[in-house]
Amino acid sequence: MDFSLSEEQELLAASTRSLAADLFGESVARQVLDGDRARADKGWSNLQEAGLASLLVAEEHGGGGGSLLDACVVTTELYSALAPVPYLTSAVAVPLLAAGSGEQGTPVLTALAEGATYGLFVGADLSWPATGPDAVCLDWAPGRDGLAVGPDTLELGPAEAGPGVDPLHPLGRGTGAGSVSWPAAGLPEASSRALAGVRVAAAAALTGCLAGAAQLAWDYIATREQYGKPIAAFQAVRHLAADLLVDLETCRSVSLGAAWQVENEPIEDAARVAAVAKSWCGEAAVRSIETSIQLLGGIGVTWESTAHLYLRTAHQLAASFGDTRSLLRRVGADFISARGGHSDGSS
Amino acid sequence: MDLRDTPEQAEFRAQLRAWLADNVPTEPEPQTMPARFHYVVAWQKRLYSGGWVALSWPKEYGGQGLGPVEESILNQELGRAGAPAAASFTFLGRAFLTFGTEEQKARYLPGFLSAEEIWCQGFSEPEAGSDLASLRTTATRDGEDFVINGQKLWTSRGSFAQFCLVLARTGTRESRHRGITAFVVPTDTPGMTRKPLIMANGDEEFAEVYFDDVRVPASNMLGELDQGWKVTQATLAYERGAADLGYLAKYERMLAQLAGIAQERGVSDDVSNVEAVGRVLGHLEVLRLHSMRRLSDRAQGKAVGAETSIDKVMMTQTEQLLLHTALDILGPEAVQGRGDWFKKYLYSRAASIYGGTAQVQRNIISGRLLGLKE
Repeated sequence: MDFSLSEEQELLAASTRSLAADLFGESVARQVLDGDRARADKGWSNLQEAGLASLLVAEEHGGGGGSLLDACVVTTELYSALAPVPYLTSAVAVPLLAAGSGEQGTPVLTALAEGATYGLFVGADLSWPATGPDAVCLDWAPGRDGLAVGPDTLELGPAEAGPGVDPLHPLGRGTGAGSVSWPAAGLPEASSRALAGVRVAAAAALTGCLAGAAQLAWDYIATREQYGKPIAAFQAVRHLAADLLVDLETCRSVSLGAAWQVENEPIEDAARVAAVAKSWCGEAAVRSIETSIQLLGGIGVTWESTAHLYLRTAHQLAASFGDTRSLLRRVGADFISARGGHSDGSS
Repeated sequence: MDLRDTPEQAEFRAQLRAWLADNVPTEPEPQTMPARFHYVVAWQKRLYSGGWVALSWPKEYGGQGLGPVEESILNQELGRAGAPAAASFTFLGRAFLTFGTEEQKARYLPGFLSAEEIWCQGFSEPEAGSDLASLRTTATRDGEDFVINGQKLWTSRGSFAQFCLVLARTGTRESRHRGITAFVVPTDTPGMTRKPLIMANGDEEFAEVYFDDVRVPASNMLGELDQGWKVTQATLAYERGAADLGYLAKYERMLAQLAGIAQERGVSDDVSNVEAVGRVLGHLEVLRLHSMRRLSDRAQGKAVGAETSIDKVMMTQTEQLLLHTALDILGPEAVQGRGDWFKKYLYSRAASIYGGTAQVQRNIISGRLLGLKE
């Protein structure tokens, strides 16, 4: 049993962190807020050139052949740095779903390796599948097509600007395309595993949001003085700060462990642990970013603070690919039907 | 990362499973002391004779020379088999491994591991709970002996133990953690009085222990004079680790029982119950992966430190959520005292107090892990 990241993964995390600090951060996020995406798009090109955007594409299609765990390590760092780029969709969800949809996905994988960028169509409730004309395109941008993926369908479609709370990761509205058919039951294992992988990557993104907001709060309370001393000296403040670390460390544990399990364990376990990771990180990230805002005091609730950007992103992520409560109900129902019949618990 | 057992670990697990299938007691664990105490001691003796005790201790001191991963497999399999937990007080033995003289190790460790001699931990006092460094029990030098006076409280197994590891003040009253020494005290020493402490659930797990001119030889000191704080820290670090305690398998069994009860009563379709079960299951999965991460660190030789405070907070939240959810799902029947769910629930309220309160854990996290200055 070994939970540790490999040396290469530690290096990947450190180099992504350093690259993201150079390319993104608050000033780029502010420009995007003001409608200027030039540096954000340039940063995305840099990530593509560094091979990070095609990390999950198999080597036979020209990609990096990385694991889900590799991608999750990168995802956490980018979301922690407020990178306004379509990493979770174009670099994680699209390659996972395209690879899970069989041969029809090959052209998409090849295009990704050559530098294409896609949005991703999901249903109107931000869950999947993207059936019907009211599909929503995650990580929409003007002129960018969205991909709708089903077990045996894969189509590209246009979208126009739609309403969303997270300006760093805009939502688009489907304009007719993006309707694919999914079986009501008996989803092929490859598709189920791809969906589980997307959920875990979303959990890794939420972990990044939490990490970024918590760091803002920890830095602030160590320097902000009231009553003649830094407010971190007050126990009521310290305990909230401690709660952030409990949430952050448990989010790291579950998102990393689930990333490994989804690629290596039977599909029932993969699906369960992915749902748990997504629901846990969704709830913990929103809760801890709210706490961070409390610790930031008045500044935390202003437009000037970056805290609301983390909170917006976290809410949108928490609502996507299955929201917390629906996922908890799913794992609860599965547990009851599988175990509940044996009240001695020996199964 | 590879969360699977290695071939060696898988083989170890298989052997253990086979042994447990033949050896787990068929009679249920008694609900009350002292019957439960005798049951657990008998089980500890059987485990010892099977070679399943002190797995990660060196062979020369009665252990099996294995690692923390095997300890964790033992706890998982005990829970899976519905066996009583391995005696959770092995962390006290760690103090002897680290600080004991060779004579002390030879004298005390065999009886400790075989459960022929039961130990208790004389740390907390009426005025020194979370603030252990303010303890008032004194040990005064008198020739070749020390004379101990004072009172201990919350002493687990205090009424049953043959030995107590007592922390006493050997420095000035103001010396705090710099003036504390650990002593081995046989509980039949003249001047020692023990009274059971009845818990809210009716149980007698703890005792009050009084010391009235209790005389022990200086050779009963564990560690050096005034160095008892180190002994305490080493012990508590192990007490706080979730992976060591193996509670997870126990929680999983309880949740499965609860799901079964909900089905029998026809309330398992209620969406709020389904969600509540899912929420507990989520906590268990997170605790499982988090514990594996910690265990992996420990197996790779990283020191056990303040990080265990995070684990303790997570474990506490999980246990209290589980038992609270149990009462919610059982509904009005739970408060009518049928079954032992209410008893378990009452005990779960202690989880955020023993081993360092939830507030002390947050002090440790903010001070030692986040480095926030007071």
